[in-house]
Amino acid sequence: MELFAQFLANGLVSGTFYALSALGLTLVFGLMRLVNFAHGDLYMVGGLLGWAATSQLGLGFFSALALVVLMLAAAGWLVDRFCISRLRDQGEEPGILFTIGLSIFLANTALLVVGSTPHQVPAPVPNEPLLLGPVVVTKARLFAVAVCAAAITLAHLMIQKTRLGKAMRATFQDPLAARLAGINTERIYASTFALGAALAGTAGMLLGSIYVAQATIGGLVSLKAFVVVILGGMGSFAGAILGGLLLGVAESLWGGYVSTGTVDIIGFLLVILILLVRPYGLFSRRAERA
Amino acid sequence: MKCIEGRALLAFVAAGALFAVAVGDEYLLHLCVLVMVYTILATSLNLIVGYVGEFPLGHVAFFGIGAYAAALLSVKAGWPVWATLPAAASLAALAGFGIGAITLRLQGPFFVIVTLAFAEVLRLIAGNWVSFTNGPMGIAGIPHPAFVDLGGFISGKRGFALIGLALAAVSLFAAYRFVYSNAGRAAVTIRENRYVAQSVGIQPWRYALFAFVIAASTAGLAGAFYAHYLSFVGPEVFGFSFTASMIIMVLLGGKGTLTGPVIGAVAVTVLEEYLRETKELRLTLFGLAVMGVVLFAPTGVVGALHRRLARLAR
Amino acid sequence: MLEIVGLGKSFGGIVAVRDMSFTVARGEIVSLIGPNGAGKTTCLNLISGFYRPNSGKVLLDGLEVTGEKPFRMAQRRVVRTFQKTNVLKNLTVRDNVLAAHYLSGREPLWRTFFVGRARSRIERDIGESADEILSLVGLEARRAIEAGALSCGELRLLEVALALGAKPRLLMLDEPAAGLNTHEAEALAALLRRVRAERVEAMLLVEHNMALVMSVSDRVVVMNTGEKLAEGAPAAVRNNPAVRFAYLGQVV
Repeated sequence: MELFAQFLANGLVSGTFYALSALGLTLVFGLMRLVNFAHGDLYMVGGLLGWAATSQLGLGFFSALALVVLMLAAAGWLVDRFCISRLRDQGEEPGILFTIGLSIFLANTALLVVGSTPHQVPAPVPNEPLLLGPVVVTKARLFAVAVCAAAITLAHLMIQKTRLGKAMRATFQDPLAARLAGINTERIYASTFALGAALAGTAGMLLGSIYVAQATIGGLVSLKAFVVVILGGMGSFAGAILGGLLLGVAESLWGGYVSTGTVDIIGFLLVILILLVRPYGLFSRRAERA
Repeated sequence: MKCIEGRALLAFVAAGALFAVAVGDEYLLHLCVLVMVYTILATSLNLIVGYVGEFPLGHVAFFGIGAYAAALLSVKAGWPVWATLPAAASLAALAGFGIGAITLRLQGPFFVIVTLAFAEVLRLIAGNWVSFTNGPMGIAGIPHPAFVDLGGFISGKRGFALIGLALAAVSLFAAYRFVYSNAGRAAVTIRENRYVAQSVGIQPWRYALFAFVIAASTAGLAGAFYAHYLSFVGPEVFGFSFTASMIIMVLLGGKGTLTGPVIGAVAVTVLEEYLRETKELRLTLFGLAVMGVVLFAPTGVVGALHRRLARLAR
Repeated sequence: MLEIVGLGKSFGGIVAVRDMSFTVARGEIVSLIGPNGAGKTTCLNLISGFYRPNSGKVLLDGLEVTGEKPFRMAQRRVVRTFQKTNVLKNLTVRDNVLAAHYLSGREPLWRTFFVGRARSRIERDIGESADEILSLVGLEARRAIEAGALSCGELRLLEVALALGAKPRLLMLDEPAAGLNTHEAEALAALLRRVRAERVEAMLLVEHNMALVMSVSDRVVVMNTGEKLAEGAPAAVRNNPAVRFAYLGQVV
């Protein structure tokens, strides 16, 4: 029983991480109808930038994080403004193909620049274990969970309460009407993509302090993010959180009770299963077509 | 259109035969073999991209299934090459039927991701099921076709090039027949507008699945041939490197055409060999190329040619 | 030929169609009219299989076909057009009509690779049929143009051409005159009469354009808020006070 509680706790921790990792992806899809296959590589860039900023430039954790957020937001903004904007009226496929190309480009440029060695972002909190009842968690992970929760809450507030957020939601619902209401939809799309990139980078740097920051992880992160987003429903904010927790717990239980080597399979099997039964994800609001 | 494409494909096969017979240099023959493998792969991916209208990012799954099937059948069961090739293609077709029946219900990004999920699951299984697939160490010692080791004119790399050419010809023929058939037209109709297709009597799944199975079996054929050529198969045969190459071939050449994949295959083989020293640089450029093609030339080389020809014809 | 009995459809709590019954006899053109939101297109969707009814039956020549999938209904030669333009935008006009001839060229899958001698003749016949249909609807001059480039009126004609390519016995048109001016609508009326005489056995029209309805219909069925309000000859329906009330909101 204690083992189960430990697995559950581990799963909830990693689940929170998954939730933040996937949030940018689901937001970009929900607000822009764009499936960003480069999401994992933006995460990777955030991680490597965070590592570079802290260990090479000597910045503190939060200053480095601010820098990462700014740089990735700016990069995301530019990519949307100059590339993705050209593809917007061509349907879904060009966006998918373009971001696949972007993913390949980012991953291999990172490999060229930093090589494939794994790095770790130094965490501001030590890795000491902390006892919470029957369960052990490290302080570093608790800190990361706290930052994740804060980031998720900030993103939620931004979308629900700020003018920019309202403009984003309006643009998603009806771009033409939004434009007629005076919203500069091109800027909104760029901001949305920037937000997605910034969230990915935040996750990358934060989790780079727990796991690794490495040029090759983009693919796996993308895949896991897709699993989360499909579980929770593409475009659903709450779904990303629930999906993340679900994946985290599922992986933890599988790894604990079955085998650790094949843990990655459970996510894919879940996706295949879910999509068979509900082709638009567990909590998606989209109705099935006749 | 049908005549032009048919003739272009025949010309390619003839040119390939001429090349394989006339050229003696080992390296060039090796390139010829690679071109053949890539032609089959690109044609196969293009069937789905161009005629089902979806993007199976996990298409490499069938390549891998064919490769492992050939490896296992020949190494563990002692089957000769002329038996493993059709067996691998059939197995891949079966897998295509199963996976297609599941994934073709989905559209757009969901289809992309679930096919990728299948490919990843297969990669993980191949890499972890040590007793069956030797895990990450792969299966070595896959035999060559008998006549290739005999010495003589059609032995060695030339023999492989000719076999590859024959297989490519079969694949191109299958694709050609499909595209210009009622089934092919039905597939295009479904791709263009599902509602219209249904209202004129087309059963949507049937033709998408048909195209999918043909694509899967030809990819499996390519995989089996590749296994016998390299004499080795490992989990990387399900890996992203092949996927990236396939995407760029189909996009660059022009999706939805029969000659596009061929042009793409030749271009990519040459490019890859030219840049073979630096894998990362090659892939970085690939990534840029994909972005560039999507932004500026979405119909690829052949698409641009079509438009040029159409404008001249008017 | 076509008989609907007690057809009903709800979406969640909203009842779109309630207890609809009417018939379309061989040789007839029946129009289904009513204010917006009356459930006319829903009826069409129910008959053609795009929606599954919650209650009621659809009978074709006495045979029950309720809830059959759309492609099966089309294979029974019940073909429909759509309210929002649905053509194959990226294909040429002629290719569109060729595509619609799917049923004429249907063959078992294995035949894809082992082409028999009869194939080229079938292809030629399909080509001739497509050209015939194009000249019937008046689009032969535009046959090589991409369908996406057509004007609204031409698109409506292409839709009819598409439906005709599937060689329907019962042709169901969803607002074929939408967006047409008076002149175009009159031409459409003439076309529909010709189609009924030469090509199909019966037609069901969902329409708002009253001039068209009055000029081509043998019978008119009026729907309002999902139910049948009235049925009869065009003139009788036009003078029906309940119908006028439904449209105009007051007894005139």
